[in-house]
Amino acid sequence: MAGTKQILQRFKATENISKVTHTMEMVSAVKYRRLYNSWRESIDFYDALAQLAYMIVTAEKTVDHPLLYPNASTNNAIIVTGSDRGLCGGYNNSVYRQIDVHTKMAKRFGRDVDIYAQGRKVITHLNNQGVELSGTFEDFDEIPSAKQTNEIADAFIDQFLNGQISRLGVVYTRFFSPASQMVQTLTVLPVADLIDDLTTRATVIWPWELNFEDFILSPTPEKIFDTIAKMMVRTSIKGCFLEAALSEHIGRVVAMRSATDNANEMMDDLTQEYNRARQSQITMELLDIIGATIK
Amino acid sequence: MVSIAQGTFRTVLLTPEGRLLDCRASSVLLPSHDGMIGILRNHAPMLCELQKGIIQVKNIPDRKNAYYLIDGGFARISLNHLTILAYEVITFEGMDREQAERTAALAKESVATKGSFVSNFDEEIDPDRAAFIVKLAHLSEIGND
Repeated sequence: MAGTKQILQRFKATENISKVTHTMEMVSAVKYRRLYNSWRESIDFYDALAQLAYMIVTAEKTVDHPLLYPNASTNNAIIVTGSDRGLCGGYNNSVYRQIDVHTKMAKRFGRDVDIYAQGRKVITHLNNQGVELSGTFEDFDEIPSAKQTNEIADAFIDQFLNGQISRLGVVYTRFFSPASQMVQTLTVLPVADLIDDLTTRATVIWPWELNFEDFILSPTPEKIFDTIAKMMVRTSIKGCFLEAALSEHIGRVVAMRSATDNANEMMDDLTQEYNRARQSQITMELLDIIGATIK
Repeated sequence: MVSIAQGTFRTVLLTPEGRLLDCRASSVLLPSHDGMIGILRNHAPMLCELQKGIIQVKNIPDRKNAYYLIDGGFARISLNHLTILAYEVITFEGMDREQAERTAALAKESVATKGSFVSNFDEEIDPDRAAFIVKLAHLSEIGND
């Protein structure tokens, strides 16, 4: 059995760890709450945009737009969002697994995949794996500003229109609810796939009271669709970064809460162990005194 | 005789940051891609692209008119329900009067000197946008004295 001094040292170390993990939990909880509010507030906007796009693509007279369907390129691009810091449970590991799926699938179908990464942990992991990154996003913390999002989206739209890539996906941890998050890939380009994905998520999508043909359009459907498509790509990319940050913080809250609970449990065990050791030390001392008196 | 365009309709302004407005109004002016358009009750169903400009929501029961500067977006009107999707929205609503007056003064200076300024919305405003902020301040009756 360890001596009382060693037990006290372990107790103090555990207490310090518990304070650190509790603080990290609190910090992440505040960030999570702030992001959760923005996420909840933005849902209506994404739903309305998805409804609008759905209405246009289901029109009797189809709209033809170069962003709508894949092109002949054999290159795919993925944006990977991870975290800058660790201690968030299995958050980054699930992202790594999804990247593996993409690289293996690309190899199997004879395609190339350009990986663009955000988050120091993911970048370091991919560098260690010897994966060549086509780009990194390091000029913003977690979520890009509106201007930065537009720059990112416009760069990929240009690549798509020039035939450099035929698909763009975002690998991110989707936030379903505080109890459920899952890594998935949202196909952002071509837009037909994005509309498909977003409309199945939108809360109210159908039935609509009116068809596309019932509306007066200003300007032409092609021009309207061009703007909607670009707006959808931009907002989806920003939405993915937002959900990824939200999932990271809730992951860290859960991981740190569990670490704090474990540390507290360990402190209880150590207190018992310390009392037992102290008691046996006192007993031994008493026995020594009694033994000496008898002699 | 009561006109068909009289009465109110539901107006919702959605942005990626949240729902900025959800009320009934009897008249809304929108900065459409080819000029300002007015929406009244019983407007025909319409999908319209918006450009940079000011949305004016008028005659809202029990509150003042509302004005929003947008950078672009879409408006959909159907069955007396107007949904506006807009991004990069600036409004003086809910802003402290002193702060609003300071922003309006900075915008006026920016227009006069043709230089950009950083607003309390934490973004750099160019003189072109500043001119719209001056107009927004005028409509919102800020810094008019």
